Amino acid sequence: MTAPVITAEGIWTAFDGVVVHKDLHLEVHRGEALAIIGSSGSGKTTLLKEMLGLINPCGGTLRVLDADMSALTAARRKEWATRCGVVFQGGALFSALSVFDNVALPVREARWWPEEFLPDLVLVTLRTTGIDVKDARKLPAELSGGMVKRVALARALVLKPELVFMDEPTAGLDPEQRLAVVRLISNLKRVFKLTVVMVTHDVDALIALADRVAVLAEQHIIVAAPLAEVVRLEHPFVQHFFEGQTDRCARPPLRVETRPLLEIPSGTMRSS
Amino acid sequence: MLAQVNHDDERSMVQCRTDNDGSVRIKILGSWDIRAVRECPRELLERLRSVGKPEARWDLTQIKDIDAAGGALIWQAWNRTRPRNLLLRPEDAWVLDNLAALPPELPADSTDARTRVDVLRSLLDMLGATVDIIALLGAVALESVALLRSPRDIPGREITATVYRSGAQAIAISGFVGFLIGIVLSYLSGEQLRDIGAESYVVNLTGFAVLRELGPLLAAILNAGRSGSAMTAQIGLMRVTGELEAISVLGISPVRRLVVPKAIGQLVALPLVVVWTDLTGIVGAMLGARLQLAIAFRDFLHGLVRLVPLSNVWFGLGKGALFGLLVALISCHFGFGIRPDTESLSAGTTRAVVTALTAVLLVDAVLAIVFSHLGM
Repeated sequence: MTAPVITAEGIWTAFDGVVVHKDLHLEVHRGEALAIIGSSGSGKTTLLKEMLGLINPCGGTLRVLDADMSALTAARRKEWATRCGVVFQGGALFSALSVFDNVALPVREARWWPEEFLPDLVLVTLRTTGIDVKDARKLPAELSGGMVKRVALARALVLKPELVFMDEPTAGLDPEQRLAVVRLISNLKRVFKLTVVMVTHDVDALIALADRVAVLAEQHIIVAAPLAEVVRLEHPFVQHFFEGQTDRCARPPLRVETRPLLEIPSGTMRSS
Repeated sequence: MLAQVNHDDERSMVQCRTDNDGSVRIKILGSWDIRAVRECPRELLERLRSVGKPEARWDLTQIKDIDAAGGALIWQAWNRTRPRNLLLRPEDAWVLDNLAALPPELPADSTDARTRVDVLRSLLDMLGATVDIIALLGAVALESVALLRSPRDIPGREITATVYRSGAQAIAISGFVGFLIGIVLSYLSGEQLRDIGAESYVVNLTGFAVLRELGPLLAAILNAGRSGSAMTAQIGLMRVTGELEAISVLGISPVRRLVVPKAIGQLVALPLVVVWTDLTGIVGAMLGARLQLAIAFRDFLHGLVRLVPLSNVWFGLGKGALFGLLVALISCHFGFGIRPDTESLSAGTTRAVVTALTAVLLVDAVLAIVFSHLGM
């Protein structure tokens, strides 16, 4: 087995004397989708921010993509940032930039791709997340919630990262959109060979996407295991979280249909 | 014939082979994702174009990895049409399918159109803004009358908050600026007046200048920068966060809840700030006169009361109130015009402050001319 993509060892975090994480351990392996669950205020988002290098933990070591997050220099950080994408909860699209420019921004910032070839790259990336070309000139304020998530996904994926962080990828969407976004993420994970770390409250997303579920409670990860194992855990938070849904979760994961969103034709090899 | 752009096996490669029967076979190998092709996209495209003939047989089945970037290069080399002879793995087809689905007219960079400056348009905008601000004044007047009819609805907290922010919190800066301008004015004019032996006129000069002109003007300029920008930003941010809609949905008039308290608060606060600026300005002028011309404080004050009619103070206070109202209306107008994005918020705030300053100076000039013709 290859080295873990993320290793957290003995993480301690405290804000103003309030301990958020106490001796927290977690590993994320290449190619897996790990979901972090926990009650509100349990420090999930803080952990995510620490993995992104936005906050430094008070103690312990945190390695993400071979980089020690506490010793990441500004120069190194830029290179590191091209290897991971982030989908923020509200999308965090730049409100003054069009959809096209939002997705083009990481590419332009990294100077990876000449401007004359940029439209093809950006528009194809947008199409893979289900955004039509005619919406490329819209501003984020003109988009629906589902479209914002899709554009945010396109922006996170345009540099072909190995690792993608998602904070509540399905929050605030209607059930239909939620299912569509879950399917989309599942497809993208396969096609782009992604490692996914997500924070979520959505049991449907857990069932469809997560290879492993890490439960953050009592200031540390009490378990990180496949969903079917996690639901059997005798812990008040876990029991409450999966209340009435344990049967659904204990079944082998439901394989999501692959065809609808990414137009990946199945069947014979194309030749003529 | 065999050629490759990069040496590494992982890297993007193009192999070209001509069979005995003259048919050309092109094999694309290695990684064709953005990480691999970004090093030399133009060279790769050149290479693809140089080998690519329409009747060639393209084999993409040995590709290790392909994404939109690599796909786009190959697609360009094909002149944006799929060649007739193509071998492709089904899992890679999405790239070419998506490229094929792009319309021939790609949307241009959208930022160009927005930054263009159009003189005629900006003039029309200015005219429209003036009309809108007058309309806002009307709405404020109507709402104020309505509030007078039902005094229970008067937003007292909001009004006092505005008085506090525009008045109390401006005391330090207004006093400081007034004092310094007073010193500078009397110091420099004293120097000139001494040359012609007219030292005592420094009292008239600084008294008129500070009470009639500089007090209200300085107060208004500082107010436009401090409170005006804050008002625009506040209302603009309420648009961004959707609070404006929430207010409307609750059946509350945004003008009544947001503009009226600011307008009334400014009407109250600005004359008070003017009094304070006048005071510190006169103190500064006295100090300057004392240092430069050795005029005693007592003599200065006596002269001031004797030579400068009190009407100038009232005139200055009136102007202060008018400027306060003007700043409030202009700031609120631009606040309501902000679209829910960061660019618009910053542009709107800038425009509000610039417009408020211009309007204050313009109105001041008009009043100066009109009132001097009236002999006041």
